Amino acid sequence: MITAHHHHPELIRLVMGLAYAACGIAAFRCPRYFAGMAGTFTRWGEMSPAQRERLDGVVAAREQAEGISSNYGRYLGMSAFALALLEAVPAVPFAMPYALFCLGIAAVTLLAYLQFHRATEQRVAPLVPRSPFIALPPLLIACVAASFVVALLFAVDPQNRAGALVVATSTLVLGFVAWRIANAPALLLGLDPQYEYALDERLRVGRARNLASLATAPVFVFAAIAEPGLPELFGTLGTVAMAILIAAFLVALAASILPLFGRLRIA
Amino acid sequence: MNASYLVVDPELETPPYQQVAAQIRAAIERGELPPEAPLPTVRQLAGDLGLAPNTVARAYGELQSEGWLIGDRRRGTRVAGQVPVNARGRLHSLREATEKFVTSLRYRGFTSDEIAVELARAGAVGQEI
Repeated sequence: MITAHHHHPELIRLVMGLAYAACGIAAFRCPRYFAGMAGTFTRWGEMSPAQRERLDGVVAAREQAEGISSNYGRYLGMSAFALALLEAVPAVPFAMPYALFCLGIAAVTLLAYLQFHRATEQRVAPLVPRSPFIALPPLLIACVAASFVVALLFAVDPQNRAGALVVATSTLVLGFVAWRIANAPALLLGLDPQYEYALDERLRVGRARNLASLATAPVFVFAAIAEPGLPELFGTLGTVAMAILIAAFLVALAASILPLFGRLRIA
Repeated sequence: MNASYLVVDPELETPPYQQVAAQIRAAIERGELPPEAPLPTVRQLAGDLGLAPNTVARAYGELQSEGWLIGDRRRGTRVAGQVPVNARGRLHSLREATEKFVTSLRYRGFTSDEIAVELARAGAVGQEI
């Protein structure tokens, strides 16, 4: 499926354009789902009413401090509409709007952290050592690195070069932002440190892994529809590279989704 | 066990490194940080508290010199296996008791030299035991 390259570029552009438009509508209708934090908890049902109340309180306080409001959701929505229009321009490499969209998400995440830093005067720190490799395990880093290398392989072909360099840059930037977030300081307001720290850890893991997963996605999308494909360019080596890329994308996707099903750990 | 949390108030007159050191000391005394418990790296704690790394390094250094913490490059900084629990309080109590004892001996007519000789002898006997 991935290595079949007999398709119509106009159809792909149309499908991707419609996907962006759908994303834009969803972001406008449910902005907090796209930019909020409540979506990072899937096991609310296992919590007692008192626990839920405390978690609700710290989530609301953090959202306010980060400035994650409906504005960010609308910003993403507007970006999605702009990218849908960009997809209609034949001169633009088809993977570029998607890579830009992923970079936009990374920018919103970083902005939220910066906003929080500015918003808090008094800082609270847990006396617990942390490792960035909890949020970004070495396997996930390897997935991002493999995707970056595969994107560069496409740049060998002049026809794919511009698009390949765009997605390779996007992967690099997203990977860097993911690493920065895995290493970011704990951001606690001090109102309910126990729950704030649990939320901070959950957000760190969720956001870093989400960005790492997004770092592999543009290359995957690009490789799925680029012509000529890697097998045509490099033979067996190209087929192996495609297999690695698919595995990297799936592993990164799983690593970004699985933590959402874990229990909230209160230290 | 619940995690301990530090807070640094920039409005206080107490320097931030002393605020950090005092709170870690108190957490150890309360048993929230058991012996051998690992502590965050200087860089992590400085980042979390929004302080310069030198400030946290100074606090850690003070606690290491007092015997509360130990640190090496391989295992990082951690709580000492045997911590000087309430070290300052103990020293204060010893001084207070000694001063009372010496005052009572002076009241009974012994000279400072006699008291010093006998205290030194008693200390030496204690060491032999």
